[in-house]
Amino acid sequence: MANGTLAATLENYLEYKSKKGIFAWILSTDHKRIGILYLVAMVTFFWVGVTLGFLMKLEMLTPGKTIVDAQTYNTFFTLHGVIMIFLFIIPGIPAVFGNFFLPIQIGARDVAFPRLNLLSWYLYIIGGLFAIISLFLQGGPIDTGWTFYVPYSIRTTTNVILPLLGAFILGFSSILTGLNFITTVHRLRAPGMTFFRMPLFVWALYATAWIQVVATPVVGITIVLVIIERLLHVGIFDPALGGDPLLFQHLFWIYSHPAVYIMILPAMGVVSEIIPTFAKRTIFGYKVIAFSSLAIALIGYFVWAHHMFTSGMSDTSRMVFSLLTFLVAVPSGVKVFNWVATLYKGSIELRAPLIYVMMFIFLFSIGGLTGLVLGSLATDIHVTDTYFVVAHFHYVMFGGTAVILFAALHYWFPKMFGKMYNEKLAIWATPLIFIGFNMLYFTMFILGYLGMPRRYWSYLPEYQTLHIISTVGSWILVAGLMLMFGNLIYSLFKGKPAEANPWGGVTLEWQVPSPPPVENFEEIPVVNHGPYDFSTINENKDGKS
Amino acid sequence: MFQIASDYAKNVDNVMLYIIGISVLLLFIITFAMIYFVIRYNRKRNPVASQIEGNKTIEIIWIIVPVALVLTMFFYSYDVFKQARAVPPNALNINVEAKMWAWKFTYPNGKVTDTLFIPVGKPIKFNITSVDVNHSFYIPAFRIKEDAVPGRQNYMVVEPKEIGSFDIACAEYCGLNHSLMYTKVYVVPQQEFSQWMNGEVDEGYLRKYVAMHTGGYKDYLTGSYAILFAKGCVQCHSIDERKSIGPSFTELRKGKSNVIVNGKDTTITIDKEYIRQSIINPDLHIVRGYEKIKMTNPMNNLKKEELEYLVDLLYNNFVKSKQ
Repeated sequence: MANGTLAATLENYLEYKSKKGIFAWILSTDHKRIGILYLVAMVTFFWVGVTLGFLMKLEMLTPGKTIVDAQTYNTFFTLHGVIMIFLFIIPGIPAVFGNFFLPIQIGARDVAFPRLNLLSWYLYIIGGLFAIISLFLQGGPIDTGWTFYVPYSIRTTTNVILPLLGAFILGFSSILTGLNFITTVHRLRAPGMTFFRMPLFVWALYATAWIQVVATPVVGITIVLVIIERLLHVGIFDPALGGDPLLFQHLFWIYSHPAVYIMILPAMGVVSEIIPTFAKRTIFGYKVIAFSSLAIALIGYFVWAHHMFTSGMSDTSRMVFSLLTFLVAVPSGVKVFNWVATLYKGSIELRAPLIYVMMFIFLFSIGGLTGLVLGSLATDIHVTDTYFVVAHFHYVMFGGTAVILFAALHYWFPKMFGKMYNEKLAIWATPLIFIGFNMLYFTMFILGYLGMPRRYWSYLPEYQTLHIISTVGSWILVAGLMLMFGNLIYSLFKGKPAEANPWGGVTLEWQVPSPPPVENFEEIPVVNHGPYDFSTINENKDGKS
Repeated sequence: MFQIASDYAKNVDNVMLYIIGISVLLLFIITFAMIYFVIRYNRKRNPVASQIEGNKTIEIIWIIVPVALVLTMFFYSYDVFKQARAVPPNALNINVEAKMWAWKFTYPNGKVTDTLFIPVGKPIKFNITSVDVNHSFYIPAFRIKEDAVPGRQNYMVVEPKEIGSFDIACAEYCGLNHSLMYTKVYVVPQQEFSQWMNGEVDEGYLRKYVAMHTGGYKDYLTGSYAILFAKGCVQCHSIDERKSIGPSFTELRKGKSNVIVNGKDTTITIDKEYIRQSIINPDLHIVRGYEKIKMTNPMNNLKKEELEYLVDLLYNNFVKSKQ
C-alpha cells in the first residue's frame, strides 16, 4: 500500500468519511460498514418478527377469537416465519459478524470481492422490500405459511408471487455472500494462517458458505416453478393440473433443511470463539470441532425428507431418512461435549457473553435432544405438525442461533463500536429471557404431545391453561429482549470507550484497535501459532505482540 | 390428559419415554458439568488455566457412545412404526377424504359419514386422500397422522382398543378454517358397529352408546357436549360464560333473547324452534352485541337427525336447566 493513503486507512472505520452523509454508509464497500448495515436492517426485521410473534401469542390466550380473525392470524404466522427465517436467521450471523470479523480473523484487509459484498446487501434489502410491498397490494398479505406448500400456494388468492420473488432475490444475496467468503478464506489468509490455524468461527462460516452456494439454487428454481405454475397454469406441483405436490416438498426441503445448518453452524462457530476467551485456554478438540462443521454441512444434505415422514413417502425412504437424521445429531452433540470440556481446568471469568453462551448450551441441548423425538419415526408421526415441532425449532433457532447472536453482540460490541455497554444490565436481561423463553416454548412441547396442531387460530378449550402460561412467558421474554437491546442502544451513544481487548482474547480481531481502522491492519500480521494459543500470549502480555 | 386408545399408542409412548429418558440424562450431565466447571475453575480458584488440547480416548468414547445410543433409538422406533404400516388381511378399509374444511368417511358398504365410527379390536386401514389442498388426518389418541394429499392415496393402520370418542384434527395447514377442521371418532363394539352398518341403528344410537359407556347416560343427556366439539360449534360459541365470536350457549339460560331481526330490535322467548332456526338460518336472528358473521357451513355439517339431537341437547342443558 502506498504511504500516502496510510494515514487515511488507519482512521477508525466509523469516523472515516469517503463520501457525504448516508452515502458514506450505503455506498461503502468496507466489510465492516456492510456488516453494520446488515445489523441495522436485521435488528429491525427481528423486532417486526417479534411483534408478530407477540400478537400471535396474544391471540392464543383464548380459544376462538381473542384479538384477530383467522385470516389475519394465518398471515401473522406466515409473515413471522418468512421474516424470521429469510430476513433474520439465515443471513443473521454470517452477514453481520461474518462480514465484520471473517477478514480480520484471517488477517485480511477486506473480503475478496468488496463490491459484490455491497451488492449482496442491496439484494437483501430489495428482497425484504418485495415482501413488505406485497402486504399492501390488493389480495392481501400472503397466508401460505413460510413453507409455501402447494397446492394451497397455487390456489390462494393472497399475494404469493411478490414474497416468493423476494425470497428468490434473497437467495442470490445468500449465494453471493457464500461465494465471497469461500474465496476470501482460500485467497486472503495472512502469511502463516494455515487452515488449521484459522479460528473456528471462520471454519463454521466456511462450511456454511458451501451450503449457501450449493443448496440455495435449489430453492430458487423451486420458487420460479411455483411462480410459473401460478401464472401460466403449467402442471408441475398441483395435481389438478397434472403435477405432484410431493415434488414440491422434496425440492423445498432439499434447500430448507441444509438451510437449518446455514442458521446454526455460524452460531456454533461463535460459541467456539467465546468459550476459550473466557476460559483463557485453548479449545478442547480443535480439529474435531472444525471437521464436525464440515460433517454437519455434508450429512445435512441427506436428511431433508425427515420433514415429510407423514407425507406419503415410501416406507423405505422414511426408514433411510430417519437413520440419517439420527446420525447427523452426533456431530452436533460432539460439539456440545467439546465446549463443556473446554471449561474444564480453565481460568473462567463469568462475563456477559459467557452467560449468554451457557444459556445457549442449555436451550440448544433441549432443542437438539427433542430433535431425536422428531427423527424417530414412531414419535414423529404423532408430534409432527404439532406444537412439539414449534417448540423444537424455537429451542434450536431462537434458543440456539438467536441467543448466540445476542452473545456475539455482547462479545464483539466493544470491538465494533469502540464503546462498552452496562454489563450488569446485560446480565440482568438473561434471567428474564431464560424464564420467559422456557415458559413460552416448553409448554409447547406438552401441548404438542397432547395433540395440539400448529398453525391453529382456534383450539380446544382443554389446551387453554398451557396456552396462558405460554402467553405470559412471551411477555417476560419480550421484556428481557427490550432490556437487552435498550442497554446496547443506549451504550452506542453513551457507553464508555472500550479497550482494544476488553476480554483478553487472542484471535486477531483483538490485536487491532477498537473500533478497527478502515483497512484493519497497519501491517498484515504474520501468524505463527494456533488461534487459541493462550500460552504464547501470556508470555508476551506486557509487550505488544 | 394423555389419551391412549390403542396398543400402538402405548408403544409410541414407550419409544417417547425411552428417548426422553436418555435425553434428560444427557441434558443433566451437560448442564451439571458446565455449571460445576464454571464454579470450580473460576478465575479466583484457578488463576492459571491448563492448556489441554484434547484427549483422543475421551473424544472417541463420546463419538461412539452417542452413535450407539441413537442407533438403539432408531431401531426401537422403526420397529414400532412398522406396526402402523402393516396391513393385516382382515383389516376393515375406510376411505378418508379431506376437503377444505371437512372430513368424509366412506365405509366398505358405501355408507358415508362426517364423523368416524369404527369397531373396537379390529384393525382398520384408512385410505387417505384429499380433493383440494394438503390436509393431514390426525388422531392424537391413536398417535397416528398421515397427510391427505390430492392425487395420492396414503394409508395408516390402527387397531382401537377402547370404546370411547376421540378427536380427529387436521394437522397440515389448509387455509382459513384449518383450526376448525375437527371431527370425532367413535369406537364402538363390533356388534353395534355391524348393526349400524346394516342400517338397524342410527348414528345417534352409537353416540349414545359411547356416551353411556364412557360417562353414563345422564351425562349424555345433560353433560356431554361431544357433538358441539365434533361439529366445531364451540369454536365460536362457548359452553361456559366466555364471550367468543358468537354468543355463549349459556346465554340460552336467560330464557329470552334480545335479537335484531331485519334491522329491528325485538325480544324472543327461547324455545326449541328458536334454537332450530338459529342453526338452520343463523342470519335470521342476530343476538344484540354480536356481529353478523357467516357461520361456517351450518347445514352441510349436520344431518337431520343430528340437528334434532343438537336442538334437544341445547334445550335440555341450557334452557330447561336454568339455574
